[in-house]
Amino acid sequence: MTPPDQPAETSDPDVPLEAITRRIKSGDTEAYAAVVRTFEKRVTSFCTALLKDRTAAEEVTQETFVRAYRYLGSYDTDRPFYPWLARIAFRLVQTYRSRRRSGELPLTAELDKPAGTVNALEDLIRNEQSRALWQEVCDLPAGERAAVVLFYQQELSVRQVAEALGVTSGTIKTFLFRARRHLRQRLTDANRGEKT
Amino acid sequence: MSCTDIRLQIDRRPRVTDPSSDHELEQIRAHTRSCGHCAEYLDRAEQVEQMLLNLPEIEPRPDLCLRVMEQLNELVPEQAPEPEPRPGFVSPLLQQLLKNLSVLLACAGLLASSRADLPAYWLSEIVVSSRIILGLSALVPLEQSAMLLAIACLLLLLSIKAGPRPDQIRNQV
Repeated sequence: MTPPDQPAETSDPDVPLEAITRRIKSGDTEAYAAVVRTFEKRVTSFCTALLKDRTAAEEVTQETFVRAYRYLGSYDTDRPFYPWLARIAFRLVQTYRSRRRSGELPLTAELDKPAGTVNALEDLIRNEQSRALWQEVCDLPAGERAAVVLFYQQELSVRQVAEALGVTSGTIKTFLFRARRHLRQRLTDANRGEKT
Repeated sequence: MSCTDIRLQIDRRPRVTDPSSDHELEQIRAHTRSCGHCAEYLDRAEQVEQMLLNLPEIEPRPDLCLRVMEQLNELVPEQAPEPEPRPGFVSPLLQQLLKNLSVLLACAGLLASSRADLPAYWLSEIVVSSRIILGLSALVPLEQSAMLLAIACLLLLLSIKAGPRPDQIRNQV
């Protein structure tokens, strides 16, 4: 297991990013499809957890890949690719949220209401247990949600999560601590409910 | 260590069973062997961690990649090399005009040179004409530009034959 404070990886082993980046820079757009296929699940999960809105998450995921392509020149190939991509996704999510708050975007399919969350998650996750777990994560505050998904599900280090979210490692540790406390409390309550 | 300290240690660890801090983990394990409440606390923490580590990924739309690539193709214009100026770059009418003009200039120059030295004032006209023809030769198809270049060279040769300009004659006098 990777030490939590150290970078977990220097580059994604599944994707020969250096070669792909070279091909893309020489005008081979199709080479980028491999990058999209490799990271699409992770970006979709991250955006869905943050936005709790399937349509919005799909829109932001798509825009994340397009934006990453446009700024691929600024990507440092010595560093892992996914934290860089997650940072772009996170910024786009923030922009999306502020646009939604300012009324530029409609509030349709907003999943902050618990009833709506379950319905939307049913479409995304067929397994009931997994859905319940996602529901628990979706009920966490936004910062904790983002930290939990990146750290536990996507196995980024604390430092990488901090870089992706633009905060300090200390803040991420606090987010993770609070998230675990919330979830543990719910688990305890659920167990008590089962016993009674 | 007290139960409070142990629980604090458990809470502080991003990964409860992280082996990178063996000493701390050993302390926790030693305490929980003798304390049922803390053992339960640790169990719960491990359960939560396992839950989070097993959080399933959400499947994207099946056509996500296709949509991204379509959007990229709209962004990135076809990077085909610039085509060479085609033979039809200069309109056929203009080509014919150029040809006639060149032939006319060449004939006038030849006729004049066969009789005597060219008048001095022809010099600038010949030079300017030859320059125009040189410039235009870059715009027309290869065979026509070769002809224009030949005419331009002829005109430049004629300029050598042209007599001195009136102001130069005056200076000599």
